[in-house]
Parts: sequence; C-alpha cells; structure tokens
Amino acid sequence: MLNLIFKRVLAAIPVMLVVATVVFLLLRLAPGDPARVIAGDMASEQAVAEVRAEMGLDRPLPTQYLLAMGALLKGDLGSSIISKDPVATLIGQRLGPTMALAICAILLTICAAIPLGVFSAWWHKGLFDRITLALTVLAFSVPAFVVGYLLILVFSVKLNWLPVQGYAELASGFGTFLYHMALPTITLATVFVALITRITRGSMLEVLGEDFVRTARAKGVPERYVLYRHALRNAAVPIVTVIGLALTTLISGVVVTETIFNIPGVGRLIVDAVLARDYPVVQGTILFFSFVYVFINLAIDLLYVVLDPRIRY
Amino acid sequence: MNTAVLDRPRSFWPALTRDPLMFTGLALLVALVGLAMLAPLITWHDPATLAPRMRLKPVSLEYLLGTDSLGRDLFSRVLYGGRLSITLAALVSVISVCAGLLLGLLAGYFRRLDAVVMRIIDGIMAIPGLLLAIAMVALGGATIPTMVTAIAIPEIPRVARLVRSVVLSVREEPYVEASLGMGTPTWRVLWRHVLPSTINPLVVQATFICASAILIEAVLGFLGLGFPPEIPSLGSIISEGRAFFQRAPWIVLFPGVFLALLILSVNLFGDALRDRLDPRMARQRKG
Repeated sequence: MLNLIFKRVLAAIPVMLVVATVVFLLLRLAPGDPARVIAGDMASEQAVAEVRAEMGLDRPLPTQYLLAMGALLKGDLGSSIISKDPVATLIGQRLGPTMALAICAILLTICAAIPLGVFSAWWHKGLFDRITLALTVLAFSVPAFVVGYLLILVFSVKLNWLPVQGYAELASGFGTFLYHMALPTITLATVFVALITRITRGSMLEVLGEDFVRTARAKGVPERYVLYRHALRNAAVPIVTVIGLALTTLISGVVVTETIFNIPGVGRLIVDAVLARDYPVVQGTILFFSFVYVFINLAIDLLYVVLDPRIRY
Repeated sequence: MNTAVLDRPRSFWPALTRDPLMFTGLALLVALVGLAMLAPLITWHDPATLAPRMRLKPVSLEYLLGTDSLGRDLFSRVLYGGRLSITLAALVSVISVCAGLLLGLLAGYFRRLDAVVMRIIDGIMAIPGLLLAIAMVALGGATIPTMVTAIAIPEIPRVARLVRSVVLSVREEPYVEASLGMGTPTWRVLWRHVLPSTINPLVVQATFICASAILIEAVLGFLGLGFPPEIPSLGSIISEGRAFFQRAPWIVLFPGVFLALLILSVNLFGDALRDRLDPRMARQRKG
C-alpha cells in the first residue's frame, strides 16, 4: 500500500508541473498588459514601467518562469498587489466557508443522487425512471445562478423562511449554520445531483444485467441486498471516478454560488481579485484549486483499491 | 450490441418524426435561434436606449418582458443577448473542435508526440475552466477574440481525448494497415480513413461544447466580467437585475428562462444526436 501511494504521488508531480506552466504561460501570453491595467488608463509611460519593474514583468519570460516555479516549490503562491499579504494566507483565511459549502453539496449529492440513480435503474423505463431522466436534463440546463435566484425568490422573498444572503460559521450553532447554508447547498448541488444520478443509473444498469446479479436473485437474496450489496458495490468505481472528474465543475460552481449568496470564501476571493486586477491572487487561487483537483483525484485513485479489491496497480 | 440496428443507413427526417425528444429539442432550438438572430427585425425598442421614466415597468404590450432599472426594453435586450451568446458559442465550438481535432490526430497517430501532448492535456484538464476564462478575460479585456479563446481553451482537451481514442482504434484496423502498406502517404491515410471516423462523435461533442460555452459566457457576464454594459448579454442583464431582484424579479427571471431554454434545447438535441450518431456512447440507453 505504501509503495502504491508513493508511485501515485510521483505520477502526480508532472501533472502539477504542467498545470503550473500552463497557467503561467496562458496568463503571461494573454493579450493585455497587466502593468498598464494596474497603473490605470491615465498613468504615464514611466508609471507603467515602474509597476512593470515592481511586478518583475520587465524581465525575460524564461527568467520570470524560473523565478515563479522556484517560489512555487517553496510553497509561495505570490503576494497580493493590494493588501501585500501572501496569497496562501488569503486563501487560508477564506477556506472555511468554501470547504463547508463544498462538503455540504457533496453530501447532499450523495444522499440524493445515489438512491435516485439506483431506483431509476431498478425501474428501468418505468415512470419513475422517465421523470428522473427528464429532471436531470432540466437540471443540466438551468444555470446555477438562475437556480439560486429562483430559490431566493420562493424561499426568501415569498415565503420568508430562509435568509437571502450571508454565511454563518459552524461555531455559531448547527441550526444557524444550516439556516444559512440550505439555499447555497441546493444551488451548488443541483447540477451534481443530475450528473451523479445519470452516472449511477447507467453504471447500475450495466451491473444489473450481469450474471452474478441473476445468480444472487435466483438463490433468493432479498432485492434490497441485491441492489446495495451486489450491484451498487460493483457500480461504485465509475461513480467515484465521475465525482472526482466533476470537481472542476464543483469549483466553478463554488465561485458562482459564493457570489450569489455573498459567502466570504475562496470563490469570492478570486472574483474580487479579478475585479480589483490583483493578478497574483488570481493566479495563486487558480493554481491552488488546480492542485486541490490533482490531489483529490490522486486520493480517489487510491480509494479504488478499497472499493474494488480486484483493482491492483 | 445489436449491430444490425446500428449499421442500418440512417436518414435524418424519419428519425426526427419518430423521436419526440429530438423533435422538441430541434424545434425549440430553431425557434430560439430564429428569434435571437432576427432580433433587429422583431424588436421595436433599441436594446440600449435609456428611458428613465419607464424604469422597472412590469410586462405590458409595449414592453413584452417589462423594462430594466434604466428603462431599457427587456425583450429586445434578451433577444440581442441571446444573439451574442449563440454567435459566441458557435465560434467557440468551431475553434475548439478544430484545435482538438488537430491535437488528437497528432497524439493518436504519431506515437512520439502522444506522451507530450497528453501530459499537456491532462494539465489543462486539471485547471477549472471557468477560473481560467475569468483570468484571461480580466487580463485581455472583454473583446470577442479574448472571450472566444478563453472559453475555447478549456474545451480543447475533451475534444483532443475523444479524437485520440478514435484514432487509436482506427489505426489498428486492417484496411488502414493495408493502405499504409501500399505506400499511401500518411496525410492521405489520415484524411481518407481516420478523419471520417471522427466526424460523428465530433458533431455530438460540438453540441455539448455549444451548451457549455453559452453557460460560461453567461457566468462571466453574471460575475461582472462580460462585455461592456452597452452590449447586452444574458449574464450581464441578470447581474444588473440582482440589485432590483425583490422589486422587479422579471429582470433576472426572463433572461434566466431564455438562457435555460436555450441550453435545454441544445442539450436535448445533442442527447438525441448522440443516440443516433455515436453508438458507442449511446450504449447505456439500450440497457
């Protein structure tokens, strides 16, 4: 097992290197001059040159690249132009709400999507299956911010049950936390519930057609056990893979959801940084999210061995 | 898998009448695209003309979808916004399919390039596409070329992977080996044998890229990073309407509904198209 972890971690290093290089190059080669944008439209050539020198943008591209990579190796994501704080510190301060939101959304997805998918597959082509499929297509198509505002319109404005915006830490009590978290969680989770329901359904349909399921049924195993013990366990690997791959969508969703509900998380951090032209924060946050993606997918790779003992690396 | 069904020559129109979902998707899509493209002919208010006395007016015959906080006609703003979204989505699809096709062909056919190209593609796939688009638009400004590039880049890896997988399976086929053995130049083998096999999955992928591009453009507008305010886009109309949401919810709802219907019609059409054109991916439906 240790050997496996070591090998997997080693394989993730080149991916992270490529991520860092791609982000660096795309942001440097994109049209537009960050120094001019930061200095402002009215700034003189000299002022722009000063900003450029301060940001190190006057050096040749390879030098800039090596300096950035060197800093990254030391865990340095750069510093904000505006507050001068290290980007890592800024992310650390904002991580709590984002983690809370993401975990709530994933929990809701698992609790809703897996039973929905299992039952759709079980009643294949039945009414339940058709309605679920239609709802998933709908959920794929309605953008998160439209979902969010519809929820606010119904539950906050009309019914006055839940707050329009805001965030409460878990420390302020579980009830208060849920009270603020309910609408953001549903907003963020909608697309995921649709996605995971579809994958679970597809994966279960394949497994339910296999011989061992027929054998289990023939020998009189209760249907509940057939579904959850025999079928779902075997259908789990594709489901978990898709949850991992869909993380980039989750991260994009976090940015939008935090904006709608005014939650002070990392998503707001990047939007505020973009609006304030604070490029090091933008770049650092993108790198942070990309590394999180690589790490979680690494963890999922390792999880396969637990989920499916047949898999050996 | 029932190959008899799959190999049957498929004609388009009978299929359309037999498949209600495909028909609904296509009809809705044609209607929405038609409305948006004909916006200058259909609307009777300019989308950018301010009318301060007509602020936040609800739905009426004069203003079919009401007015926004500056008294602009929401009906024409939504249609013009839709026109922008559709144009942008079409450009993004064409560019990302072409770039992905080229990369996928290179990676799939020339084994030496494969490792390099695929590592770069893995890297790009790990970067959340929306964040990359946000950063590029913030740097380059909200112009059509920057917007299209920013939305297209995150889509390229998926196309490239798809093409690569098709190429890998086709190049092992005996007829391709035979063709190479007879001395056909590589480019001709790619053109005559490999490229045609990629077309069906690519058409399907292009519809999904369209849906995703429409969504990302709207999100950028919603986050305040879209085009300048005088150019209406669905996302920025919603973003501007946020402050008046409690008094005039229609400013957020109508563009939201238009956006959702547009993406829904593309998705429905894409799903149906996939079932017909790409039997490998449609396998699940047959259950």
